[in-house]
Amino acid sequence: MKTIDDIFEDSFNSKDFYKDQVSLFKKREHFFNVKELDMDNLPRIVKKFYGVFIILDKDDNLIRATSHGEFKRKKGIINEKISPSNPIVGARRWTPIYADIKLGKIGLNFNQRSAIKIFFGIDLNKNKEEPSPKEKVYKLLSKTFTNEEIQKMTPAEKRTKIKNKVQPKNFEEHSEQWDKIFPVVYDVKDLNLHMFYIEEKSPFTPTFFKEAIINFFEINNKTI
Amino acid sequence: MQPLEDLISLFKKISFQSFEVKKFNFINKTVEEFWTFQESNTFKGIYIYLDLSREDITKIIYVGKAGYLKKHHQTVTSRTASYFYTKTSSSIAPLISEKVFKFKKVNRDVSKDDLTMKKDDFAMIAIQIMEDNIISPELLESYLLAKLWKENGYFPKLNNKI
Repeated sequence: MKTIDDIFEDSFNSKDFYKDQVSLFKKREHFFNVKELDMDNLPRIVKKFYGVFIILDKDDNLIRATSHGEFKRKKGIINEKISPSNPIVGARRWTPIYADIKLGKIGLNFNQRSAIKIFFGIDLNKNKEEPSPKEKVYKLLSKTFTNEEIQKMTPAEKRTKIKNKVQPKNFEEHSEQWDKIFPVVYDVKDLNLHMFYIEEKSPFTPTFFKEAIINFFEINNKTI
Repeated sequence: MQPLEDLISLFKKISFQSFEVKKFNFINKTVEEFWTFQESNTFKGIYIYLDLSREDITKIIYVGKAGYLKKHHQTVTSRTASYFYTKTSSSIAPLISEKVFKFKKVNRDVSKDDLTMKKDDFAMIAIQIMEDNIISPELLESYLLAKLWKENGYFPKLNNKI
């Protein structure tokens, strides 16, 4: 297994760095070409994924790389486990990338305000201006809060609660309007999608591996 | 410290020479000298804060990045400006008393006690990248954090994710 130093050095000194990593991860059954996956029967380590997700165009130029799983410190306590997240079946709402492989689309640079307008018919508005219209705000938030609780919220608190209501199903239900939610929408058939699974006990972190890959593509002028 | 030495060795292996390592501590120095140092880091790169009262690699209490691989206006100086009390806020800034240094803020969730240290225990290292499109600050930051956590089991106390 390559060390952190090996990966760093190879990403600069080996023109085959990416290909070599694919081979190494394949040997350990930790590499997945998304197009070859049975989406109805995903491997366990793809469903609960830690690692790096790579979006390449047909000519293998890098469009985007995302890392999944971080070691975090919260309130002074270090969490040595990392939370898995699945980048190919509905990434979380705050990620700038949203991939739905079954739907065959990947959206980049999520526009949250536009999405909320489309999903809930609500304008978030800004600063001290209340999100509107009021009846739609109350209808949405009343699933979780009482009217009294909603009344007490500041406009900023209401905006936060509304944003938290965005769910993967909203994206699925409004798939025909993705071009209004994302400035860039790709058809999956035009892409190569790779997943490198990186275990918690791996000698390197997902974030570092992602940065090494991005740096490799960038310095070799293989990015979009 | 070994992770930093490893990084500099790697720079040689990849023939990367467009970098500069600068260090500051307060021992026998004035706040004016701190500001001269702080304002001199006009390139992108990474910055490392140290608590010299601690042992070995645990001296490293924070690793951060400034700027991007491509040309970008962010520098170590501009990125780190908000970490310190400003010169206009106090004549002794970034100190809060003759012998005590305090970060104004670093990360959310950092305990207030962790922001303060004896003046002579504070130190900073800036590794600046003088050329665009060769190596990204993100890569250097993630390299050092991965080395600290994965190879040394150490999580710098002011960083909140690795």
